Amino acid sequence: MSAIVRSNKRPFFLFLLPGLLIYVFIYIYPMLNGVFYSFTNWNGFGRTFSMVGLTNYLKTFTNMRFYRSLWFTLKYTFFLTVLANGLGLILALILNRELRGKIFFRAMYFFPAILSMVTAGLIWNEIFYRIVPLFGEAIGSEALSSNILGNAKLALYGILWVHIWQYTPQAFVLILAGLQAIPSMVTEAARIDGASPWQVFRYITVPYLIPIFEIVIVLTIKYGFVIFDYIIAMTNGGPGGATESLSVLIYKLGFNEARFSAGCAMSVIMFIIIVALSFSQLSLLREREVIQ
Amino acid sequence: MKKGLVVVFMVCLAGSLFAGGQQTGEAGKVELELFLQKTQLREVWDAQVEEFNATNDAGIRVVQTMINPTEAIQVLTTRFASNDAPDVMQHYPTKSAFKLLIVEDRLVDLQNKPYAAYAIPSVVDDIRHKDGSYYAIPITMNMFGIFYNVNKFEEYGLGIPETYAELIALCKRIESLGEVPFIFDDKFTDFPRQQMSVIMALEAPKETWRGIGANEIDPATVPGLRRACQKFLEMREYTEGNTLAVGYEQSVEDFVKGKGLMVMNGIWALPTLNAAEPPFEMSMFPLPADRAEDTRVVGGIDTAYCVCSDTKHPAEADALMDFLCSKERAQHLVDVDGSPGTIKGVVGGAEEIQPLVKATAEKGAAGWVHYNFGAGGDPELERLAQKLVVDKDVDGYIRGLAVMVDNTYESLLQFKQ
Repeated sequence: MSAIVRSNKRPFFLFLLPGLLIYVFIYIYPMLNGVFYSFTNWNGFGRTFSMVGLTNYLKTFTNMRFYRSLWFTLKYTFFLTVLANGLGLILALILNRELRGKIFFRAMYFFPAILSMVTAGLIWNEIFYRIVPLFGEAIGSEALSSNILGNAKLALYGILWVHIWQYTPQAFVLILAGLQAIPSMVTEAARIDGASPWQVFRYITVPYLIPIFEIVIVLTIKYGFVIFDYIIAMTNGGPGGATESLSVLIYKLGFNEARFSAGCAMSVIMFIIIVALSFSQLSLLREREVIQ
Repeated sequence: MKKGLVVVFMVCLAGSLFAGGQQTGEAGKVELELFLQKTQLREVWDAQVEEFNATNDAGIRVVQTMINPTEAIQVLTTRFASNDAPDVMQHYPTKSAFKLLIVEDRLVDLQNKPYAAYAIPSVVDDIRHKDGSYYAIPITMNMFGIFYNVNKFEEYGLGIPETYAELIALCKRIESLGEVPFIFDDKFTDFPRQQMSVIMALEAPKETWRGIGANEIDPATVPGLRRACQKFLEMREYTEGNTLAVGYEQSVEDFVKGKGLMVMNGIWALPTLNAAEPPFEMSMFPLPADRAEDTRVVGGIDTAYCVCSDTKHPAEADALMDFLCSKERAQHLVDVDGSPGTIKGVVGGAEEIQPLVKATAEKGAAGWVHYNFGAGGDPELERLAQKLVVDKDVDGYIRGLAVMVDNTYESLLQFKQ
């Protein structure tokens, strides 16, 4: 019996092989390579390098620029996760009802998601420079009367706004799919039993949506942590390093400042943080999941 | 049998993933890669490469790789990291990334090459090492100064300032006329770094940096550094709004639209400014020092060609270098670029930059300050200068500068210049 099962599994394994090879060569090998170089002093240009042990890690942990970037990244990821997914949920709840023109609205809300991140960044660059200040002056807001990307305190929110504008449609589509998968008989039964709309949402909709939340929250945390394109297109980490995320810092160390191995060490640290966050979030949500 | 076929099929499928379209040269020809990073000169190089490919009788076919200057350093880092260096490159010998290539023995010493004689010797001396070696043939010079709206200056009867105090007086006069004196673009880090490098070049001599790196000089005690910060911040008082909100393209557009009477930049901005078709005449003057006699145009070698030591075709690379560095091709490049040439017999340079060319001929030029930093120094200066615009923390800037010089000093010592 077991021999038959094994022989039946072999073609499946063989069909998986190309994907597995791609994964190993594109993800696993570079990652292990990065871990190796994080223990060297390679500058990215040299033919030779020396092993320096944990020096790059120790320097990272005493580098204030790293902590500032980490704080920026954590703050950015938190706001992105809460706001983009919250907005996506609200939109999905609205457009899951019987509304006139809901197909049109669904298509319209998804439009920003089809633009590339750099294109969106460049478009908003001009909007923040030319249009938002006019609006700020009209409403008498000093903060909005100048390009907020040039303000060290507000630049984060400018970038975040563009990211939410573009990412929310993805969260919206996934959550909408989750809403449509909830068996209508369960919600109808709850309503017949006298459940209020809030109780239906709290005790039926949310538990059923948790598998979807697991996906969108992991995706958002990952998008937030590796934020790069918008920053390069809109502020390049400025003003004065105020929007230098971990990814941007790693990139600058490796490609601009000839400190490739230091960048590798920082990447390894960032990888560990993302893994830890993703696992803790998954285990937290699994406890509340509905088993269908 | 079936299992065997499945295995063969899967291996072929997996193998196909790694099949790429390997570029092959024309039969019997040696293919050379020319790496370029000045996109505004694309047409010049298109024409020159086409001419070389059509006329060389050494069986060489040149293939161009043109990368935007903001991304070129990243592409080159990746290429050198994977031992995939191009054969011949256009680069900037004053940049710290270029010095790193020399330190890592990635470039060919050109001092004994026949085409080395084409360049003006005094210019080559700027990049010549103590042992006589040098690794690039300079083709053009860059200069930094102040572009101004000639028509408005004439209309208001404004003169060209000869001292820094006169420049500030000029700004006040322009403001009193209801105009904006300066347009600065601090949003991205290039401009603050370039401007600070120019101001510091007039305030802190070359020896200062070596002294700071060797811990012989405390940067906090160098009056020139504090004065440079003061000027850097003071000039921003004569701009409109938040300069950190303005990017390079926006500053060009604003100047061309007449929103300000002066914009500081290098002569490399001239093609972009002209492309925006300003409805007025432009000219330039150097950033004045505190005393007129101390004013120098700050600049250095700009476009240069070099040969990578990894090239498998050194003789063919030399043939291409000989062609690119010849007077005719250098003149062609200067005619389009508008920068002063550094190859013997090449004349020209755009009309707008002639005041800087004249001032350089009279007094000589001051080199960019970042030329005195080791590898990684330029990007750190960018960050520090922009941070100074944000927080106006002069002490913090000087402390950061000291750390940067200290961190990059080791690679500077390896650089034998």
